[in-house]
Amino acid sequence: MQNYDAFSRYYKEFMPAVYGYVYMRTSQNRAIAEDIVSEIFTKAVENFDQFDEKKGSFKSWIFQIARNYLIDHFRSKKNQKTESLEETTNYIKDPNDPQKDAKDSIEKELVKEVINTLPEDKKELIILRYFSGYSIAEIAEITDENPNNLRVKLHRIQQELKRKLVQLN
Amino acid sequence: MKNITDKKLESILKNFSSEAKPEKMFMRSLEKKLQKQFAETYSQKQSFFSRFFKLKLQFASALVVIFFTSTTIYAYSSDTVVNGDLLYPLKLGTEKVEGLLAITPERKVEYYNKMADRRMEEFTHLEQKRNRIDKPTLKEAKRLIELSEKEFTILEHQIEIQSGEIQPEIDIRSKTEMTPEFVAPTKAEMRDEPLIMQEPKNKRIIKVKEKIENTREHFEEKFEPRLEELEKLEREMMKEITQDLPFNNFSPDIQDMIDAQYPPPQQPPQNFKPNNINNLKQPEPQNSDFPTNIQDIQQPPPPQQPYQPDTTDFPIQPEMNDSKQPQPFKAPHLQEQISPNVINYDKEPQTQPFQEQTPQQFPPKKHL
Repeated sequence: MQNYDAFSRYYKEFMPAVYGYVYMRTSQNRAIAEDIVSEIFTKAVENFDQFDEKKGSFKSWIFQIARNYLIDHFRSKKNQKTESLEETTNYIKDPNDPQKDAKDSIEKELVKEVINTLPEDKKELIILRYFSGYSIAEIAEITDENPNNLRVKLHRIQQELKRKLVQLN
Repeated sequence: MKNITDKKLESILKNFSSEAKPEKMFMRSLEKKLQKQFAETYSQKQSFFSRFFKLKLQFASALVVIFFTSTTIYAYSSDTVVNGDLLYPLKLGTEKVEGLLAITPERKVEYYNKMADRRMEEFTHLEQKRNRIDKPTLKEAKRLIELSEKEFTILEHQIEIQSGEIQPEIDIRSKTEMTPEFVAPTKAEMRDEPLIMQEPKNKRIIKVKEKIENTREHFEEKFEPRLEELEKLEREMMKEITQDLPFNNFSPDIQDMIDAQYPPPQQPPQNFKPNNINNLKQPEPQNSDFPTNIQDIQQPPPPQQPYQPDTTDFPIQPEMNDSKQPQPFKAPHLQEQISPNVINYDKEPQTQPFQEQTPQQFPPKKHL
């Protein structure tokens, strides 16, 4: 019998990070993010007997599930394509989210908009690094990439963001 | 935001993590949902696995039984499983079980006949396919044919008894209180049939007999010459071996076999020199009367004592003779009757002319 206490511990520890990752990747829509997060954790429950701590951490395991789920989700919605800045801006404006309205600031909104214009792979790296708070090594484990390459990639993405923000201004 | 630095951008990005936090209500409701689902999923999975493990032992034992049964069936039914094969003992074991199940003489006859056929087939297979002449198989076939014939005679005898053609060897009527004058007639007598050995009327018995005869004929035609040839060859080989050997010190089994085949000469040659110390004879003692073993010394006979009759069995006559010799008591009224049976050695025996005793004439048998 699998131990629910262990799963519950993992859930409490990593659920906010997963939520943040999904929230950012679904263009900051809380309703969509909650649906997707609940689906991701349902899958995690179903496959928890296959999880082995010796093979890897729960963090990377759950993010791999989240990542695969989102890929499927985007494929089905045909949302993989990079959206234009205007479209994204319209999309992210959620009048039903009071929290978002409260924390609105020009800089943040601009950065968000620019992030949403990025391609999915770049966007994912930014989200994992800054929204979910993962280290380079952890991202390398999730995305199965070389940490040094990742560091370089992240630096380039930052430069691109900067460039786009300047352009936007 | 014209001059945005890397540090500033990084701080803005890091601040997003606080924004993208889930609501506590959502977290709790999702946790409850997952707990329920966790219980459902793993109770189902657990029950499936527990059922599997419970069935595992039964499944394994069933597999073993199936494997053993199929192997036994193959070994029993296959003619290619022959002497020297791994499955041959299994085949013989199964055949033995079959033999145990054959209780009646008829079944036994059929069983031995079948086994003889099988041995002959095995011999043929060994010879043709494996280039091997297996004498034990042939000998076993011969033994089985003899056994089937023996069982058939018993069967025939039983049928004759049942049909009343002959009387059973042990007549139970001798143990009863029947008078010797009365002898129950047999069924054949009742039918006014002559008391001769008749052919068995049962068709199945005729079939069995035919089978036995066919098997015997087949064996005599095909295999008996081979067996004789093999035995002859063996004998010749043995002879050659024993002739070539420079010594005559064999193990007891071989020595017995050689003695049976080739009896040793009665007297050894004059210049015979035994090369084995065991063959040397023990020198006989000069005085043969002298006992060499303490057990052979005869005990001296006990001294003879005067005869004293045992007076416990009969009373001594009060009027004793002068000689005071004890004499057995005889009642006066019985003396005449007893006297003819008592041998009196003092008198000369009375010779009587020999009369030939005629056998007691019994009245003729009465029919029921």
